[in-house]
Amino acid sequence: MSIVTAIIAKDLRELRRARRVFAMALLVLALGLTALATSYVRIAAYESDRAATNVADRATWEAQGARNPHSAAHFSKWAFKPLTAQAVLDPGIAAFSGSAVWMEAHNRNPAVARPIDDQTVILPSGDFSVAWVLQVLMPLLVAVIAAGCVARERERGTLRLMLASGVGELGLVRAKLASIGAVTLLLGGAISAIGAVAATGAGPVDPAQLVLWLIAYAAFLAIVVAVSVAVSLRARSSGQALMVLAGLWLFAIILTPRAAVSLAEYAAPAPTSEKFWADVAAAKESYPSPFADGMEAFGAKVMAQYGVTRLEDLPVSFGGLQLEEDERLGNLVYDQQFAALFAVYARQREWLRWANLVSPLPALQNISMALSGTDMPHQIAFQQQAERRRRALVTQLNTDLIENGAGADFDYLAGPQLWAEVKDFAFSPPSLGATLAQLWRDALILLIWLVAATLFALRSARHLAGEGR
Amino acid sequence: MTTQPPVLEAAGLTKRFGEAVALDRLDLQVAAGETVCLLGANGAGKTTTINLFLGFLEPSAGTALVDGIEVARSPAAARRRLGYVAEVVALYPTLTGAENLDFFAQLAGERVDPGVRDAILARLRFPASAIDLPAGSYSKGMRQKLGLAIALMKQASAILLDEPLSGLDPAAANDLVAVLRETAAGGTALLISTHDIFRAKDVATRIGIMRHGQLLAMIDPATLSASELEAIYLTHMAERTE
Repeated sequence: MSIVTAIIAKDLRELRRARRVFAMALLVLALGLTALATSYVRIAAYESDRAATNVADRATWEAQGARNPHSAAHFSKWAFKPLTAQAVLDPGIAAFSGSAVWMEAHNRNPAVARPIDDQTVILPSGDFSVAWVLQVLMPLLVAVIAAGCVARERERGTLRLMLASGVGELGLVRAKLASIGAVTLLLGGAISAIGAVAATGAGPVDPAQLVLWLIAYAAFLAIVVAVSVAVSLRARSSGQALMVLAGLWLFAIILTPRAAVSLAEYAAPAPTSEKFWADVAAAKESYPSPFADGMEAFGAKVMAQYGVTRLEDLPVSFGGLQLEEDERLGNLVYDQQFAALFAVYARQREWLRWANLVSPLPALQNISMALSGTDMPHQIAFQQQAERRRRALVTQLNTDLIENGAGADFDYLAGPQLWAEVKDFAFSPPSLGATLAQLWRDALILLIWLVAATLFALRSARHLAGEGR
Repeated sequence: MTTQPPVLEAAGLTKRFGEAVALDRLDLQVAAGETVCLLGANGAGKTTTINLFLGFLEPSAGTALVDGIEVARSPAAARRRLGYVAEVVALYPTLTGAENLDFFAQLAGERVDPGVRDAILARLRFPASAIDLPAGSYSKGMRQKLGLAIALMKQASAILLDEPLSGLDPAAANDLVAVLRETAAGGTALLISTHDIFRAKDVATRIGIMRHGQLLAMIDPATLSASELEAIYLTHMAERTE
């Protein structure tokens, strides 16, 4: 048996017999499993609701009978965002972001129906998940276990006996890293493995995405292990090590991500919802509407295009053309306003990255949410795809009116055949390649943290040299 | 002075902590089969000497060699040739005696042979029924015996013992002394730090008197009577209180 293996076996045996640590580990495991079960149930219920609502929305849409296409465009349909199976692992912002968009004519509506609104106030779902257990509780458990890994050996004198046995300082540090790493792998691995099985059971999962998710967490927990062992190597007592690690946990895991969000909001303030929609309305008022002050010019342009001198002579519905022109002009406003809003979100994410100077957690959170399909870029992708579908839907209805409503305009009635031709919204999440392209900086940050934390632990080996003092 | 090649050798070995000189130009050789006891009051430099041989301290000057290996340069290699028994043997309280023994044997790179282990424990008169009990339940005597067993299982060239008999009942101390004699007779070099001049006379082939970090004298205990040794001891203790 090698020295490293012997130390791992001894440490595991001691931990198993230290009932408090064992109980705490079981508690974390139980919390992980509970989080998993609740996430699974919540997502299954959400997806079941979504499927039922989709069917009901389709049935209502097709049952609307004879109707003017523009009236149908106001009646319209909904775009529902599916939750990915990986949301079982990390619900990210899914609970706090709208999951449905009403694809109405003229208006780009905000995403509504936040899952959080349907839940009790007892426990915010966004906080209680496998990701939360691995991001918040596991570092605390690792700190508790690792605090004494060297410091307690020092306190009771076994460190001297170990070193006197011929174990080199670096060898001892490597063994302790492996030992605490093995415990972390055992617990974190158990939670992650069960989570992976649950995610696979919840729906189709991209294995590559899941493996990358696991690698990111392995790297994060390895950083926690290395820092914890380094602190234990440097501390005079296990109590001192625990105090330092508890302080680091509070600072890096609890305080920093929250402070970073506040900093990002301060540095790149997003407009309030009220102000944003007021700006949109003002911008829409500023262009010459083909229904109001721009009507004369638009009518002249259309008549010239069709070679007629009176609107009544047009072979198409002028009202339909007005609607389509109004959509085109309105969409330009939406494109401009939403691009500005999303740019603010992007700037906020850039500011959030500065928090990685003092904590690797924000980088992990970005990676975890992105690979779970529950981050802001996925939400933006949903809103943009819903908007594209809205525009296609409205254009399809306007086109029917234009082609078939000559002379009748808003008195023209379309039938069930048209409603049947309208497709439902189907969300295509960003590809893995696109997701990874926006994550490379976070991955690099985690890698830098891992290398730095490992070097820190190995350099702390020199604190073993003065055992005779 | 012995004619055997030294297993332990200190040459001008010095350790300062700031202005304080803990060990002052110690020259000492301990050959295979020899037992050298360092005798002195607290602060005389006995434990510092042991820590320097173990590489737990960096010498301020001079060298400490184990089997010709300079400790300061290759502490891990030197330690692999050393056994060590502390004044209070540190054990893992939740592990059994057998598990403690096996663990430290594995760290020393030894294959654990239960037969060898049981034979060593029998020599030490360690109660067989206690070896599978948690070490946290052991008396001091049992801890010291287990500590010596750990050192013996390592089959080291030399064993360093820091006040190994301190606080032991006479029976346990006798058991340990008997095994130390056998161990030295088997060719192991022993360097023992102790306050107990009578036990030192029992076990040592040479006794070094230390005071204020200096080795004042090296005595052959066979040339002194018990009362002369007691006089030395009392003189030594008197100097401590000056």
